[in-house]
Amino acid sequence: MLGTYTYNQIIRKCVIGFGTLFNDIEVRKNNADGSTYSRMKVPLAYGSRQKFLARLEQQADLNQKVAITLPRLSFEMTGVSYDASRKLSAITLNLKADTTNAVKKQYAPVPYNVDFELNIISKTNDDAIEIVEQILPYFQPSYNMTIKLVDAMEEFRDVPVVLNSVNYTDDYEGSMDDRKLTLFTLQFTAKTYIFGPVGTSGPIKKAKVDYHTEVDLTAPRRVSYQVTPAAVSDKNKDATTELAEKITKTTLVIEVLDSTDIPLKTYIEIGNEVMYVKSKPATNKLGVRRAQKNTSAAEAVAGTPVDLINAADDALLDSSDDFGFNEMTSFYG
Amino acid sequence: MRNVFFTHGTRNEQFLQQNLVEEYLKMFGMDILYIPRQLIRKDGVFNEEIISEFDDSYIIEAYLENNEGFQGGGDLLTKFGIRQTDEITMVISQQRFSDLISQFLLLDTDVEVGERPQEGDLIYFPLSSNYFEIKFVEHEEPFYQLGKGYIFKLQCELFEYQDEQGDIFEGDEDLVDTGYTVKHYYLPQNGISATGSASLYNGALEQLYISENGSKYIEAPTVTIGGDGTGATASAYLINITVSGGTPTKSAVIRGTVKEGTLRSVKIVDGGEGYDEDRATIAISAPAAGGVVPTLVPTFTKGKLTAINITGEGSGYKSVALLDIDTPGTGYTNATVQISAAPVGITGSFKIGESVTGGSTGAVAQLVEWDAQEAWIKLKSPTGTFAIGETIMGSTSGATIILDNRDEMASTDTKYYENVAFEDLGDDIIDFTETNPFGVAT
Repeated sequence: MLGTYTYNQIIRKCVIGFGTLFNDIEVRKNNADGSTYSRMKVPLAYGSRQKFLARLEQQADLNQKVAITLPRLSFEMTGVSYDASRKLSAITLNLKADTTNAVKKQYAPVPYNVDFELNIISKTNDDAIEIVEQILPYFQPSYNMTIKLVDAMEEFRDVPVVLNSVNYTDDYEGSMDDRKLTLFTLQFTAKTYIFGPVGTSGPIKKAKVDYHTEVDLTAPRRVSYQVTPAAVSDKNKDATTELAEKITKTTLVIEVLDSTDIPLKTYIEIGNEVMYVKSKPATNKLGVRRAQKNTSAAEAVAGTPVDLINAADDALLDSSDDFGFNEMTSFYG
Repeated sequence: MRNVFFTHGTRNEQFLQQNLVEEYLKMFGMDILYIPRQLIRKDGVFNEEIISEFDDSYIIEAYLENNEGFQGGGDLLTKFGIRQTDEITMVISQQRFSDLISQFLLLDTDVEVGERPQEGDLIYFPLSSNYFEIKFVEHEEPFYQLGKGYIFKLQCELFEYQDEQGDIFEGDEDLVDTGYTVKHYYLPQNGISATGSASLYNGALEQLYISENGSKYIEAPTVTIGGDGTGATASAYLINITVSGGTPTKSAVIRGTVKEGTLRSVKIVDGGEGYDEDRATIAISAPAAGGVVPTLVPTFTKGKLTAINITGEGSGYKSVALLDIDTPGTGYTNATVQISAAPVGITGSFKIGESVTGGSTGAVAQLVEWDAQEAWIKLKSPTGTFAIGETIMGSTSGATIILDNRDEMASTDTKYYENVAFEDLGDDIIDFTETNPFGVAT
């Protein structure tokens, strides 16, 4: 078969989005003095429905007191067609950071047009054009609707909804007992994209290059170079120890509660400042180089945790973090 | 010239015929309600009615001509939902109409033609409890027997209802929601007013203490400092936001503005200094039971709180959480803290059908339903939007409520209404961060 199961509900979202555009339209009647006589919120529904549900929902007690309540809006999807003018390269890959230390990936979508028909029914011409005039100004001739087409990728796309035509019917001629019908029909096209499945890949955390001195690749390598990401700040809030007394911006020997677990030639983080431990001049005292890794020297109060930046922090790096590199070069006889 | 020795309908014969017709109608007919249309306003351009009302009804006997069932196309599923296209033809006596109904219609200036049944008038058909609209009044069938017409044949179809007003529809539960009704909630029980006290130092306010947090405040109450000094002012806040942890060298001060239980804005009065950005977190006071704590994302720059982004506004913050001294004042030997009262529930009893008015907005609406148990009133066709917190008063009953909440979208014709469903589903997928030109302004 073609591939993995996928259903991004894009056409469904376009239907919902299209419906949302017209769900808060009002019809107002005014008294002769201009004051409001009444307000009507125009009900809207998707046209197609299962007949048994329509009967159960709209005629639960088998009978309606009136023929229908007016005005009403109804819309339905009338077609889905490929739009060659918006075709993108099929091999373009969209990537997005994943919260679980991985990236999500998805290939470029296929452009499709979804056609809609919006119908407006009213008892009077004036009410019908009152509704239409609340709609037409926003379509020049299109209205851009921003829809999250793919949830997993947080993929928001501007979907232009183009108003193609407006038709008007007013059947009033004929026998006196014929029904008069005022109907507007608006044709729209929503220019959307259909996306495929979303895959995931972990971030690359190790790069290794082997150097050979012979063309024969089965011969032993001579040099191997390997890099892995290194944390530039603390990630695991290990609080290895605490400051025993406050420090200023210029303190170069800091006193901690217990310096046993702080190795020499390592980086520590106090508050937002990274320091390099270069010596241990006395018990529980650390000689430090301040403001490392692009941080600024700052004051800190006694009791501020001292975090160690080590391999445990390297392991917690994710794709959105700043990082440095651990390098390793190996030579082989 | 016709033969003058034979009569073709004397007045007495016509009376006899009329009486026989009426007797027949009374024996084989049924009682219906005749509901005349009062045409309040017409459109001179499109030649249509703008405002019609149906306030009166008259009982009259009528014969159902199609006694084997409704005429018309029956129940149809259309793109606008189910349309019921039943039609009937009712026969009524011309003389009885004149005697019973015309005399009243002729006095009503809003009735176009009082002498005869009007096209556009309604008939309440008791067998099926339907409203039928008269589409055509046939007065020439049978054709001038004895030189006169005796009956009106009323060709009717089911009424198409477009939120027409009038006493007739006011009590009709099936039609109440049609149009634009909004549920307005009030408090089922009175809120509790907050109280506080003050301590003084050197004649000025030193500290404010909350004795009673209160409940159900719609927005932060005002605080008045009483006593013998001058100049002291204070503010109340319904939420208390602080920065927790991060071992600062100076603590941040944050004030949040709450309205209708949700956090609307946050102001950083002082960003503090020396926060450990990895360890500093935002601490927020707890909402009332069932409430949701807001989601705030702080931004620290070099150990200082510089911004707070509200990603979830939360709910349920209706009690005083913090009293803050704005100005300590001078010359106080004693000071009292007065906090404005919490909203109350209902006073009096509303009457269905009365109009209600908003105390501050002046908006007027018709009360169509009222549920004292669930503490809401349903208002129809409001002329404006009632403000949360304002007093709404019934014009006839004098009953008042303080508006606590409102459900604006959940209205109108519940049988054909997906507006709310689309709104709810659209909230998850549509980005209307700029503006939603068609939506409710928020």
